[in-house]
Amino acid sequence: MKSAKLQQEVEAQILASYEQLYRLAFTYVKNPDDAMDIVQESVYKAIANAAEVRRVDTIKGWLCRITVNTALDFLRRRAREVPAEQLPEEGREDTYQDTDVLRSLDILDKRERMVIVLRFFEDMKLQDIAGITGENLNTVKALLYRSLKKLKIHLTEGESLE
Amino acid sequence: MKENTPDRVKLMKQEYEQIPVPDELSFRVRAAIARAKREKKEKYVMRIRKAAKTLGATAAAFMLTVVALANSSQNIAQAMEQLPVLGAITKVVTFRTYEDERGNVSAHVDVPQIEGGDEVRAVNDAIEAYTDTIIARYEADAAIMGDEGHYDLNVSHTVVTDNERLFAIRFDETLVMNSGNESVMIYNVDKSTGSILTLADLFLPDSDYIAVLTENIKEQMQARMDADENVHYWLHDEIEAMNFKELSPDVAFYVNAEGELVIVFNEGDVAPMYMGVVEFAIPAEVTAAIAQPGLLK
Repeated sequence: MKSAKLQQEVEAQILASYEQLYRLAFTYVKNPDDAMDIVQESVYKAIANAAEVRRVDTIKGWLCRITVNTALDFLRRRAREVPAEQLPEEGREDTYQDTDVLRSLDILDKRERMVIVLRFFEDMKLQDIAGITGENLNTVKALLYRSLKKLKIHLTEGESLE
Repeated sequence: MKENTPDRVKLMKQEYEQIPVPDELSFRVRAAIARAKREKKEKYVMRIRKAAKTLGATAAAFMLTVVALANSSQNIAQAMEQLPVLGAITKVVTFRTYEDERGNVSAHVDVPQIEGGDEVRAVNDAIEAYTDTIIARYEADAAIMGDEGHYDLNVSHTVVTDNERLFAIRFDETLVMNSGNESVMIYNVDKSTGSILTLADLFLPDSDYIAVLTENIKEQMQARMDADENVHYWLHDEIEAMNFKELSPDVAFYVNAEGELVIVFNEGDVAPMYMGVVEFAIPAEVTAAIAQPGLLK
């Protein structure tokens, strides 16, 4: 595959899926400004490294992976800069969409959340998810089952409170 | 209880899809794409300049000689082509040249043959099958593109090994579309039999030559990356599936003047495309214990 052609493919995939990348980033940072920063940085990285893509049908997963890694880097950086308890609570309230889905995802750890988002919200195959996360297929399956179990418990409790 | 889960997940998915996307995002994505492209172009130019500086002296000297000779006399160029080679193989001649030009689409493929009678027939057949495949692919591509695209194919050959025992002819295929793409094909011939050698033929039966070569190539990749930050191979890439794990027995190779094995990877095989065709000479001491006597040093 020619590198110029690859770059075109990557660009086309970005333009087709940047809204999905944004939602993916949003589940991690939970506010529009940071999520946009993350998408912007991820897109930049993807074009800069387009030559590293091997097969056209893996581009979408590769973009998701870059986005997730960028989001995790961002969270790590922020955790170092501002201790979590000092985060200005009302500043977050303004932009935080406290929907059921985001609350539910909060009880999952980062790996579990990624598996749930990619499998159920982005409709990816488990095999492709394994490729993105760098885990083996069995680990991905285990994460998925563990997450569903966690979610069910959580959702059931939520319902009973109502 | 359990069948409850998919419904909850469906609901979650709906909510997920309703996370609003700011209008500004589209603009910022396009800006990021434009910036990355611009910087990439600048970086590429810098890399070429740097490479030109390092290689400049030798390459310029070499090209000057060839150009001067070729220009000074048509006869000299022809005489060079017909220089006889030693051993069972008498000489390499350009059997025919495939040439085509239509608008921005063109091809030049030299099809060489080795003069050496029946003994080298298998090699000649293989060469012709190889060039025929390339020409057929070109004709199919050219027919699709018509006058639209830019497409320039060039296949040239050089004799890379010619010692008492071995002979190797190397084909360099350059395909220029929007950007260039190079690939290499090498036929190694055992002069004592006239047959084409595989990589495995260079080593003792049952020797684990793949593991030995893989290990050495990985070490060389690492050393080159450590020495020059502009050099990059897929060795510890974050996309695990792309990393170089094990040498393929079908890789292109030849034996250089020092009697060392040289492994040749096509563009994009073990490194990003901008690295071009990459070669690794395997030091003689690495292969000494497992080499087939008489073929490698």
